Amino acid sequence: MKLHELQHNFMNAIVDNSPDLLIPRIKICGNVSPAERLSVYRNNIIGHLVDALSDTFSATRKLVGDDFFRSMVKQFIPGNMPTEADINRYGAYLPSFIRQYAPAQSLPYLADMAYFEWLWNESFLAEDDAALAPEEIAMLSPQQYPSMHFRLRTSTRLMHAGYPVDKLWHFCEANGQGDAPDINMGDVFLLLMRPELELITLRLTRAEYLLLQCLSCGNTFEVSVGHALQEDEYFDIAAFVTKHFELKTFQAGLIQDQ
Amino acid sequence: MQPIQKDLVGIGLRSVHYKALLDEQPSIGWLEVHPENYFCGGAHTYYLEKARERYPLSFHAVGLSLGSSEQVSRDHLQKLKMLADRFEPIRISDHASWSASGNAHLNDLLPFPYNQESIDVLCRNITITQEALGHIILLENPSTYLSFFESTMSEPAFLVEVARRSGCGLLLDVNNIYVQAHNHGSDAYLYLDSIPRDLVGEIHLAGHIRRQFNHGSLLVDTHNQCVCDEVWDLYIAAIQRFGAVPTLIEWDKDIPALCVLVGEAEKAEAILKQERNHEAA
Repeated sequence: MKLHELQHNFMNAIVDNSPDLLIPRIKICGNVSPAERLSVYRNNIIGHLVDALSDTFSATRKLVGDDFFRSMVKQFIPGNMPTEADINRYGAYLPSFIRQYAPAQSLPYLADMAYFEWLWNESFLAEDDAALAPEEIAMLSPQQYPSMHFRLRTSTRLMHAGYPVDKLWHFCEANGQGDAPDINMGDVFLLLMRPELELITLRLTRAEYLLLQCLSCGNTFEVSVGHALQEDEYFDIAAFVTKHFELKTFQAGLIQDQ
Repeated sequence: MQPIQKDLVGIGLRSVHYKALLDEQPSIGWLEVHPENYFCGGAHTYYLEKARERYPLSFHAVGLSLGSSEQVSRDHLQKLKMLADRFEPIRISDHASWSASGNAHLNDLLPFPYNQESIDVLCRNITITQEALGHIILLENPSTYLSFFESTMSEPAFLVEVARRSGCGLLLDVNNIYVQAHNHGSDAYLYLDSIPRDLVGEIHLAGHIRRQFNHGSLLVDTHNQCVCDEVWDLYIAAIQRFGAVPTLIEWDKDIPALCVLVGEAEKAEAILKQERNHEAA
């Protein structure tokens, strides 16, 4: 059997647990059967992936318990094998899988929790970049603001959740110590960001969220502020600017609309 | 008192030890990392910068999938090259194994047959890698749990042929040789004797576990234990054959306190020192 076909069959043996084409190619040696030998690889691979997902989605795991989580991700893994060597970036599709996963339907906040953890992971692993420096801002005249593109930092992630997943996450991280958050408190708008080494999460107003969302899509400051004002006619633009300059939400290098 | 300079013995750097390493600055010669863990920004890269200020680094890749019938990923190579340019590792290595096929990447070091087709594939991928990096790499002998009817030669003969043809060196994992001997009924000391002295650029030491099946057992290379006595004995034989080769203590799971790894490094250093004294005499 040629190498390409052998590797294809190996992949099927692991992913689909269908080893029939591979087993006959495995040498019989000693008292351990070919199927037992192959099982070491399957157990290692699936075990590593379960461990990786358990680390990335630790709050989700704590919410449902180890047994439920392991059973759920073992059903997720075969249709969602990693596509790159960096295992830290594995699990992007788990939140959408959870949304459809029948046994989790009684926990409607679970998919949002998992998505929050995925955004956390993305933010943690994002490329480093520099924040907009005070000198760059000082060079701007107020008349220039409307036509400016304020780019968000590479680690910035925005989330509109139907449940208070930020509070839920802290509750899980504290292993259930303290008061449980009221999950029916309504929608939350969140900013996740790693200004330096530490990751922060921040509650936003809907208008603030819309403004940042618009900026992240490449709109000018004027267009983005327009969306915020449509949502909240009393939206305080100056306070927004001061707050996010101080938080270092914006990336170095301003671009002016031509 | 000056600490003993263990310039030839390194330990694998794992994130749980970042702070302890920088606080304690143990007297070890170098640190080895999986570069794939640093294809990102943030805390990991920050601590690697800090560690690099104090220790030389080597890169031990796990994601090139050199044994895949498909070519090495250019994207992966580019990320590795950028990281190598930034951190200037003293050595770069990966494994005689494969992980990727089609669109899937299995996070394990998988076996292939030891035959001419695999030699051609491995040499092609090593050549692409070395050209992209501008750096000779070391190829590590694997732990495997099965072998194929398609194999036509022994593992050491295969690795030597690949190294000679591609110009790469070998990273000899002594624990893996011990694991292979148990799992495939071969002789670990004959394995060592089959490797030419000039090819070995680094040695790895790690722990393994025994997994029991219905009628027999396999050793599994888990990197979650101290190095066992039998592997230390094999290491002494390796050092006597290959000389004082840079040696790494690997530990990837159930990671203990940093001092445990440093203790293992001290054991390796004592063996290397004995060999150097012997060479000097």
